[in-house]
Amino acid sequence: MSEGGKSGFRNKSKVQRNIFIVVMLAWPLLYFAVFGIYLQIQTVLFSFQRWNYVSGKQVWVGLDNYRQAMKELIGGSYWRTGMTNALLFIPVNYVLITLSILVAVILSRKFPFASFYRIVYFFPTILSIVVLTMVYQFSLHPTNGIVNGLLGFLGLEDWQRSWLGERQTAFPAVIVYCLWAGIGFYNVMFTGALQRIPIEYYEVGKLEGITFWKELFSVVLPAIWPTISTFIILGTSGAFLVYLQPLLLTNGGPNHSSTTAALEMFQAVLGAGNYGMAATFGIIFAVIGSLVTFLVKRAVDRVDTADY
Amino acid sequence: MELVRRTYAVRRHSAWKWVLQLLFLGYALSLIYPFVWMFINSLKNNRAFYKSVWALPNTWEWSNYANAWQEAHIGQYFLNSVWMTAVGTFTTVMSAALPAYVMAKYKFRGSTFIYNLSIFSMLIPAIGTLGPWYLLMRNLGLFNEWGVMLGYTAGIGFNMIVLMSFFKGISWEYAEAAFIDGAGHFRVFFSVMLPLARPGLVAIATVTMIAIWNDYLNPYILIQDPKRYTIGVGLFYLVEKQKYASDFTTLFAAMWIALLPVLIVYAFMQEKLINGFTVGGIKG
Repeated sequence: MSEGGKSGFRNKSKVQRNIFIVVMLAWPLLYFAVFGIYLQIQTVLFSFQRWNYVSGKQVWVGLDNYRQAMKELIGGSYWRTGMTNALLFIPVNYVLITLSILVAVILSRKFPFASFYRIVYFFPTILSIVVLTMVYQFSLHPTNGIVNGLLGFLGLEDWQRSWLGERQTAFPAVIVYCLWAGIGFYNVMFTGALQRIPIEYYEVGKLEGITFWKELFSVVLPAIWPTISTFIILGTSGAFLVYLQPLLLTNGGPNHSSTTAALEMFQAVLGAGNYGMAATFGIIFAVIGSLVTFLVKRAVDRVDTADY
Repeated sequence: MELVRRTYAVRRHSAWKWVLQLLFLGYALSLIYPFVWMFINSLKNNRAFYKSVWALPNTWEWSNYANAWQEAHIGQYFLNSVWMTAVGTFTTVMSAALPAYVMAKYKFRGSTFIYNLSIFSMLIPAIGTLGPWYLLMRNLGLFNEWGVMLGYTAGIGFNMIVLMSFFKGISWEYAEAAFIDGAGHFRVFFSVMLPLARPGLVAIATVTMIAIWNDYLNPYILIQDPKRYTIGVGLFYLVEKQKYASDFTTLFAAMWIALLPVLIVYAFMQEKLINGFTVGGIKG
């Protein structure tokens, strides 16, 4: 074959290669362009508009939405409660991660019935959230729930209450639900990370006879730090997205005490059709959320990790 | 002295083990018990249920399950969910596999950009897009199951990143051998590389299958025709209805019907499923 023929072949194959790449990426990129980028731009545009409740007409209102949003956030409206509760979910997620690491580490150490626990703890990850929240509501039911039943059995009638129906306990009860239902997922993630630690890592410590806590902090945690830091970061930005749990458990109530930023957004869109304000708060929360997330990411990236 | 200290340490150690065992058992029971309770009560008639929610049923009302399936339309929702889950799992996995493969195995301009974009978009809590999304779907006439199915074709995201690391682990030599035999790029992808990535695909598919079966939000917003509800949406409306109708025993039966397929998949695929959540070793 002559030299020219060969390069002709190459050109043809290069075209085919490019066609292949374009075809493979076409749909994902189109989808991302519409549902990622276009919607994001729309959100920014929406935040400068207002919808007339009667005619449904859109009007440009400049920065009015932002002014009102600031007023509501400072003055203390439902949005402010939602914002505070969303921020509270950041430490809640960290507690969840800490608990899950402890559970994973303990279960990885020849703990009796470890595989039984691992299987059971995973249930909430695979079961429908509609069923799970329903079951949880029933457990906290004022008269028929097991929680009040147990309290009565222990002679603690004073502690019985309508857990999801009272202002002071509704939001804590939502948090407890998130911990109760969340450990299994993280537990499996950290179990996977623990299994990838080479055995040699433990050997030096074993010879020196170090304690459980020493080993945890000087061997185990550094080795799985990449996984931990990923979940710390995702848990931070995820705090701003929480709304299904309060929606299904309390619908944000009573009197919006257990609402979250994302739930208020959800209700502003689907309940009130208040697209302008929803978009404005969406932008504000996204900015705050990203700032917090990137600060946490920077702090987390500074920690030295063990390479393996 | 040394011996005394050591026995003390051992005893304290075993005391700790008991405490931990109790805590772990308590948590496990708190997860199992509600479902057992629900099952027991799903076999009572409503009178027995209201008389005592703790007692065992005196007559076993299996007809509650027939009622849930027929009259509460759970059977209909079940079948809707079956086909949507089957098709949705396939489209989700394939639309993630296509970009994952080219980005893992081909060098081209913009590939790092797409990768960074997908990571970046995971870090930004973009909740504000709900309104524009709602209006877009309404204007496109996608307030039905097709709108929901469209949502299962988003390729760029978490699944893509996991599958990328899978494709990276497959040697390119297999592809080269096929190229020499005269296969084209598509042929190599579909009949050589895709089968080789099977473990990763199965893992992702199992996780996706359960996620779609349980998916509640998009179907709840988009599906307006009660005949087309998925099981998650159907259950939600059934829960709402019971707040007034108070036919809880049928509701419990309906919930068990919804749980059963997931539990069966879990029983058979437990290892694969848990691997599915840990494949690729998620790192920062």
